[in-house]
Amino acid sequence: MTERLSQLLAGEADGLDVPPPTPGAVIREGRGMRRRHRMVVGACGVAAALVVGGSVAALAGGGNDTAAPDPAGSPGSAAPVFSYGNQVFYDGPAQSAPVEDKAVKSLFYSSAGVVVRAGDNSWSDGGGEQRFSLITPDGDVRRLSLVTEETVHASDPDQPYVVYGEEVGGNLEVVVYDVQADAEAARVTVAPTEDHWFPVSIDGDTVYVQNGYDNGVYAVDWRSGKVQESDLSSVWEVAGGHAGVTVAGKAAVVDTATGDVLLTADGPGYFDLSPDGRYAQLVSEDQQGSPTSKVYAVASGSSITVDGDPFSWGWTADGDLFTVEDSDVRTCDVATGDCSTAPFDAPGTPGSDKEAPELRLGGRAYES
Amino acid sequence: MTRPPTDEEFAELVHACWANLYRTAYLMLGDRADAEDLVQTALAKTYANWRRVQNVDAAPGYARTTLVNTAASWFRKKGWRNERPTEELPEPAHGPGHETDPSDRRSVIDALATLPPRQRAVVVLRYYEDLSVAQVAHALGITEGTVKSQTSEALSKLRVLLGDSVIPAGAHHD
Repeated sequence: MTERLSQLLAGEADGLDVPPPTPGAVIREGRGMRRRHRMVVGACGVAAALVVGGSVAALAGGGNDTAAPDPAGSPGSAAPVFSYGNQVFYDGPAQSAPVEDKAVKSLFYSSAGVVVRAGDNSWSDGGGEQRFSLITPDGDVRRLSLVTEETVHASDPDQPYVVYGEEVGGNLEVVVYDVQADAEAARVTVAPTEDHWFPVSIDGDTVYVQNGYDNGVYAVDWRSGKVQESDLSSVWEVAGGHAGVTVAGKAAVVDTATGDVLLTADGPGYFDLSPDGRYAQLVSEDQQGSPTSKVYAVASGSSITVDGDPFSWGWTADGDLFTVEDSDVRTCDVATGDCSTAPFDAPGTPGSDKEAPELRLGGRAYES
Repeated sequence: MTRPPTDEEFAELVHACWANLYRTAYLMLGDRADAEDLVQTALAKTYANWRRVQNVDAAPGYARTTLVNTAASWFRKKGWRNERPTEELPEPAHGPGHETDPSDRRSVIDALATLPPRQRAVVVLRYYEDLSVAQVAHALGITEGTVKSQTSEALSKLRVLLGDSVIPAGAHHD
């Protein structure tokens, strides 16, 4: 009895002028959805109230064009990112591009694409110049003018920056480098120093930096130049408003805004956070070769156990675990424990005369 | 295919699904920009949740379900399109009981525009997508009783506007 209504609806639908599909926009939005909206550290509640100083300089020609790029920028790949030698698989095992250098040292996620730290060898330190390239989501490889040496670096997957600390004229300075613009976005003077080793993390507008071995930790609002002392015991693992630290001798994850302890390990070690801060893998330095490792969802405390030691697993930019095997790449969702594989032919033949190139996994720090 | 699709494969899927999803979205929402936004959102969710989709063959169905679920969530937002449906029925062209020209497509879309969002979605899902009462209830997250009452109310309104030849008295299509 309603056939006529159905016919009219179908006629209306058939007569529509359908706009052209926008697969690029769909995929970008889909990738963005996979990333949890990240909490930007504002109040820095774990830091002492004392402002100890600091100054900020907007660089890149003195203008603001590169000093404040859109933090929401185009998200990079949410697929596994890894490298063999100088070949970077920048969007899962099917997409690769070579960087013009001898070996990749580490891979950083950014909103502009994958940032590659490379040099004459794959060593994390003591290896000479560290040269940088940006691999954009469409596979373009851009050599950056940034060159460092004996420096620790960090990135935030939602922003187009690599950060590091360096000693300049007796002061620790934090440098925020815009990989999209290939120029410094900001440089903040933090504190006097006699060291040359500065562990660092960036989470939103806050850069956490450790002043050498025992001269304190600072939370730096790099946009305003405001510097505060921080109570964090470690700055290696800060992401998504969470920090992997040590509390009462045990590995723990705390909320950087409130200082609340969110997760505590039963045993020794530390928590390696996913790039989005949602998940934490328990790592014990003597765990290499262990048959399994445990990974926790920070919010719920639930955990899954994965095969292999923690060092054999990397993180995707949005918090999935992945490991590269001989013939495939295995990706696991920590929330559900579901894993999937994608085919992959690893370069290098075990047993051949030539040594297989070194594997580097995205989301894992190769800094020391 | 259990592995995630490459961008090229997903782009092919977008091209294949886009037009049909857009048509359903437009009939439900009555606005071209909103319809395009809804389709893009539904397909982006399909991309983001590929582990649940598992393979390309299942993707169009997943995207369609996601599209309806997303629309339903939009309807629940306070004030969403409150200005669109008119609570008072527009004056029919020839008065109740008289025929309007059913070949006039604008009359159908204009009539749909008089319905509140959820009623409109119920009509589109039942009489364009040809879903059952249970399927519509599941898709929109409402009870079957609500689907029936919304259908009845919507058909009464549409009958006034479109005429008895389009929607005969007593038509329910259960």
